[in-house]
Amino acid sequence: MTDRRLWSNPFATRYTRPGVIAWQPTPDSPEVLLERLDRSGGRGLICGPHGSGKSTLLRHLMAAAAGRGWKTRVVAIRSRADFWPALRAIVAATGRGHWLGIDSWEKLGPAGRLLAPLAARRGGRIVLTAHRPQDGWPILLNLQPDAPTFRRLVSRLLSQVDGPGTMAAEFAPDQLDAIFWRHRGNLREAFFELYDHFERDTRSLIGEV
Amino acid sequence: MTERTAVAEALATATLPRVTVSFAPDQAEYAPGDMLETSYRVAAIDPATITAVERSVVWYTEGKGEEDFGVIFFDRLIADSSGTVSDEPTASAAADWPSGGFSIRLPSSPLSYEGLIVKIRWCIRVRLFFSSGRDFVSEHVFFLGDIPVARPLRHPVP
Repeated sequence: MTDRRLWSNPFATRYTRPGVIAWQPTPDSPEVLLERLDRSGGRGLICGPHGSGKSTLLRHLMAAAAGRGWKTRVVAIRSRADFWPALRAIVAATGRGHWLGIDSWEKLGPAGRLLAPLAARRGGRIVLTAHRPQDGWPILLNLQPDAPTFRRLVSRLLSQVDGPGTMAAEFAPDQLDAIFWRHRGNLREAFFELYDHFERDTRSLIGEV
Repeated sequence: MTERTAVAEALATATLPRVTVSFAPDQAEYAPGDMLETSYRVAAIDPATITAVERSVVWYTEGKGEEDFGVIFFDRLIADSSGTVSDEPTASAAADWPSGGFSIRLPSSPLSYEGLIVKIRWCIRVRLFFSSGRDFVSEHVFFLGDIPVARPLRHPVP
């Protein structure tokens, strides 16, 4: 019984939250994206639908920026009430040695349009994430996850968690594809469904159900 | 036991250290207020390459929502140039560097819990710092309390 209790669910947020999932190979490495950011005047936008990996990519960019010695910070916007923290962060990120990421920019609503010109003039490097293109912000990357990427992520998550590790056989490629499309490419929601699968299956395997 | 390490670390080192933890009295289940007595051994690595060892006892949540955690014990052992250990409030490891042990009294909560959408896990965490600047984290789960494993409802609540 004890052994069973040690099974970690590889789809828990502990393993899937932004910054934890490893960088996925794309034509644009974080370094390339930072170069592109500089060519676009230090402003850039990562856009893509819900759960497409925008926050994860933002954390990877932050790590790459920190590796260059820049002073980095990410502000996560949860509602319009975060207008003031966003404003303070923008004001503080003055000069080329600063890199600021603002996650879920569109949640600021119309107030975001007031902050955008200020952010553009501060001189630091600023990257926003949003679901759609934003006026005046160059697009660094438009994320559109696909089923093969999802399968690759699942395989990586399963492999990094100790324990019996037999779940890989439970998820056939077509099953994973069906989950991916059921959630319309929302990786976060797809991981949540796999989390539930894992909990059900591990409990049934040991006769708990 | 769960061991985690950065992928970059795994790729950068041909061999990873092996950390084993022993619980006294030879079990990993404790009641609230019990003394947790533990020893750990670090193997498969040259001790001279280790500059510091952090030992901690933590609890954390694991599930579908936001995470939470608490630290009830933490210390950091540092190897100086002569190979001795400093900053060591519960010294018992100096002679066997980087292996060692410690004991603490466990709190009354939170109790270990194996739920469907959230779990509460307790673990001993041993983190090794190398002269290269890299680090390696090893976690060893134990149980506080004896809350039964949660089971899914057989019939949905109307």
